[in-house]
Amino acid sequence: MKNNLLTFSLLLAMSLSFTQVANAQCKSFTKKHCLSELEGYSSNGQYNGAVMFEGEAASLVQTFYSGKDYRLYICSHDAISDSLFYEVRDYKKNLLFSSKDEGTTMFDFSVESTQQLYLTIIVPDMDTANELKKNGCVSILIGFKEN
Amino acid sequence: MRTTTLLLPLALLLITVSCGGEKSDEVKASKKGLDIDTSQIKDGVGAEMYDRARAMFYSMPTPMELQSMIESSGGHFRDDLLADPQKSADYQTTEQQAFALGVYGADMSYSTVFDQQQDALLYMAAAQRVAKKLGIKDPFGPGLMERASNNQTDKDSMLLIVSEIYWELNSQLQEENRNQIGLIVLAASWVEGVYLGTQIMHEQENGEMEQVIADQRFIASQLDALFSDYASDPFIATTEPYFRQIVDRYLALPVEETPTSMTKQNGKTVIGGATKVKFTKEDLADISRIVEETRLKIIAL
Repeated sequence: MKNNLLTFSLLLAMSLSFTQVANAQCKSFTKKHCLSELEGYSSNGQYNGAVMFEGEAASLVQTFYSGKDYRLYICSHDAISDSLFYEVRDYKKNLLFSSKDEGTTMFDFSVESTQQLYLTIIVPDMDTANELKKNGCVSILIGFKEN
Repeated sequence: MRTTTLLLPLALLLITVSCGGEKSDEVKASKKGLDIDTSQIKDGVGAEMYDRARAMFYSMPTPMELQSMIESSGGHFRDDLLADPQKSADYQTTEQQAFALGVYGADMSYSTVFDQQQDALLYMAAAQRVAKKLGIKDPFGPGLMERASNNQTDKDSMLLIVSEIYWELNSQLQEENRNQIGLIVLAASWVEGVYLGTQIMHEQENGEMEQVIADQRFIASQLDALFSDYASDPFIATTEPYFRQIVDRYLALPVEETPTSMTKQNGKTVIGGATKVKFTKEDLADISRIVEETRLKIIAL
């Protein structure tokens, strides 16, 4: 009983530690490798970083204001950066931008009227064995400036 | 010995997964969100993928863009509208402190955007005091106040410092799995921003700011979705009712939809059409009244 409790406590601690370590690594990764890409823009102050594995997709909805120029930049760890791509869709989920089609993970744009855009980040499945699936930090950065 | 035997592989596993490159099913299972069929995402994706994708990222609006919109639509600075920074030491409960941090943060942003840096420093210090009580230290590291004080004649540097504060605030709370505190801080910040905006809007003759205030419907819908995501959290269950009335009032505003267009103007992509929030003078008067009441409640001791 005592051993079970110890095992459970350790597993719980490990799970929490993993999340914290992974998050801390993503924060550090973003600071070192990503934030400078917003040069010329003011960061909107949002931090959005997480570890993604191959075969996963993540989504986000974001409001963009008229009268501003925006830079949307998705920064990712080398392990997944070659395969990762993202798409930006309008309120009806019509495709507006695909980093795969454009060949860049940086999207500079403005909106005529304030609106929400839907962002989907995809790390395609590369058919690697389950135990070897690649993963890495992914950060969403949004900068704005007067247009 | 038995403990060491158990700890060693656990430690190795932890190191392996946190360094990137490989994963364990246990780790994957601990992540939030719904599982999706990964065989569907080898190449391009359909529109339905957005709805099925994991909710790993949370878009919590910071007040900087709203304040910037208030400025660019002809707003002005009124220090008489701001919260009392001297009360920062008086907020005792976690709930009060999260509200106060949000309000002081918005006042700090507003002062910075309108280049009132002495006020910005006051609110930065007030936010720092409240944040410390909440165990939030990263945004207010050593030298921050000195750096801000040295840069107070440079608005761009001050804006950068404020955005760094928000970035560090969000990242620390995310790192510590305390997103629910971050959500309430930013909801309170939003209320303060809308309160300032509506008060200034009433003094405007050209009505330029009205659309900015109405457009906060989008932020209200983001907050509404986030409140739903965290509905089972006891802290959110206690604090969400403070914001419910203003969020619901915003959600009652109709949104007109038009087809989206994409054009290139001087090498830049412009997204046209899409959605426009419709409103009447009565709607704005109602929002103004409700946000003032909400703000009074969240700054009350």
